Amino acid sequence: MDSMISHRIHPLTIVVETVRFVGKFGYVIIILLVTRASGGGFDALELTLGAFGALSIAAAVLRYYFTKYSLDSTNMVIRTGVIFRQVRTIPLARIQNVEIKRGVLHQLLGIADLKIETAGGAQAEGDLSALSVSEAQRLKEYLLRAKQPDVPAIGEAPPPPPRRQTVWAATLKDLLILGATENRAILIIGVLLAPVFIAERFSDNLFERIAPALFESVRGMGDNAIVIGVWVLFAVLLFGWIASIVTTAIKYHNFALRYQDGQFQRHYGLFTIVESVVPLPRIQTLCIEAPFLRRMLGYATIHAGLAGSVNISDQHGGTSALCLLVKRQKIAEYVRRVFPHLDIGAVEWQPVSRIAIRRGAFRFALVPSLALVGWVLYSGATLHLVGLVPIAAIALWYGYARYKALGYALTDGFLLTREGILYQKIHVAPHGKLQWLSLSQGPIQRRYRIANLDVGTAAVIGAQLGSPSIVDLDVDRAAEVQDHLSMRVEASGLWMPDGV
Amino acid sequence: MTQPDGTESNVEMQSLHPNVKKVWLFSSLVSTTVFVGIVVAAEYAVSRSIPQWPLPTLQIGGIVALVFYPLALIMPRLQFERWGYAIRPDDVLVEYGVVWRIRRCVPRLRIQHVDINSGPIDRMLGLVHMSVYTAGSMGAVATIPGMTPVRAEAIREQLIGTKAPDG
Repeated sequence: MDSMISHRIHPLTIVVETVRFVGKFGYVIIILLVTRASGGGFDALELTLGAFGALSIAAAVLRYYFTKYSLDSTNMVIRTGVIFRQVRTIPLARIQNVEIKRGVLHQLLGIADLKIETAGGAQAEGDLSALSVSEAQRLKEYLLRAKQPDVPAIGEAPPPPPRRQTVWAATLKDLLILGATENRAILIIGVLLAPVFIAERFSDNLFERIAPALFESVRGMGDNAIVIGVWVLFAVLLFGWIASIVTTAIKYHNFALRYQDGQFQRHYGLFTIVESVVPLPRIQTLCIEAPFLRRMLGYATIHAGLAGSVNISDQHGGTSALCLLVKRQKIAEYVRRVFPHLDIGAVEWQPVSRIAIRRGAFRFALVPSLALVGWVLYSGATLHLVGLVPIAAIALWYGYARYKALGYALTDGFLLTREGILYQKIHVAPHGKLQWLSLSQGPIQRRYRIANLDVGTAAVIGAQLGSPSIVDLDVDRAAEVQDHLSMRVEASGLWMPDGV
Repeated sequence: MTQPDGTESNVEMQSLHPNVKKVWLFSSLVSTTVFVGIVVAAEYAVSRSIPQWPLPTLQIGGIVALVFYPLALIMPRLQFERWGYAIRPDDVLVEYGVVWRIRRCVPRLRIQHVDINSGPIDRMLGLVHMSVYTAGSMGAVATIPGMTPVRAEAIREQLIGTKAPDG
């Protein structure tokens, strides 16, 4: 293909664009027709319609004139925008998929849209609308031929065993423990209790009205009311807990993780049966999570963070649980199934800055101590300031526990981060899957020369599990780790959605 | 910056084109005016609808304006002083932020595509901004504002140009 000559898109684009514009703002016409029906001026309507038509055609013509594309041996360049202009450069090697799309109108006019996707976000990175069909075909062939990824082999991948083998399967006991140790149990209780409290807030004596007999009996009990209240609360807690166990057991009924030809297969569910495939190279990160109770019992759950899909529409990114309940001693073994070169049991965890204690304590104490001081100012009960002592003590304990929970490890090929007191999470990210590294400092962190180092991967991860992050590290050390990782990323070669 | 292997990477941080301060000033004045306008309108509406409204007219709006307009005037300067970027052998490095500070690395091999954008104000002052995207990022991972078009093209060429990146 000719190098760096700008091409225009097809002139009939103007027609398509006008139709699109009218489609987008068609409700304006409908509103106008309605207002006319209710007695608006006829001339005004025709004038407005004319102006609208002229505007849409002008917009389409401008769009046509300002959209250009060019190609050289390595890049595709697409220029768009009339007022806000954009020059997008897409390296041919990064192109994952090229698609030709033709709507009814396109077919009538003999033109086609070309969509070019890299492994970026949700939408197509390049959208040429519209081209002649022959040009679209020619471009598609050229782009797909030119992309030819040169994926460098990293390490020696062990030859995949041909047979299907079960990696991990859940027993009923596992599922019961899993549900019983879920933090969700607390959530369910909250959800159950919230409407009651809200209703109580907004309507006085709600209980008295809906259940006079109950209210009377409670009043009759006098001091026993508190005891009864505690019992009711306990019953609700118990109910929430049981509900969590039952929903977990139903959701993950017969959970099995199998391995075959470089991909994991998951199969689970009682009513809704889920069968999903997790190709090994698509795993970007691992997250080992342990809510407090689960950790106390010596268990953890292993999740995989997956890259969003580009061209395979039935495989969405997100997190998938790989092993629901694993004994602590066995974690390393399962992690090795995903990352053969990592021995998570042998990594040397490094502490973060001791300032983390102070910052954690400060953050913990801020709201309660302010509330207490506010109360003292309001009530004048100076003696209550004594309450600051237990707040400070608990805050310090919390700060220290938080500091002990934070940590990171740099191994040959991996970054590991650890956080959480009541809800521990360990993130594992191979250098080859890191996308960017960001060091950030808030005002207090700046004052004490500490920083957070956040790491981006292509995994689409929910809010609960989060992403790898080193919290409250000495700022110079953080920058050092950042630069080190950045070099290691570069050394690990090109990233491909299905690359090793 | 000392690298883990002990060598100094003497890559100097580049500052932005000074004209970018004018772009920021324009946008901060516009957004402050919009914000103050909303506050004033809300205050007016509330004071009209509540007969026993205690405050004299437009007092809150006045205070908001007194606080935010000076900020709008100062911020572009502070932002400019904090902004820096470097195209290093392995990655793109950006540093910015007045209250919250960010230092971000994007390794070259992770760059999926590069945008060069310009709005009308940018073009009046002869500037563009450059955005770098990686896989899985919903938006740009790093955006460097305040560049001349020539410089932006040169850097783009350096990052994903005709010459294949070494490594």
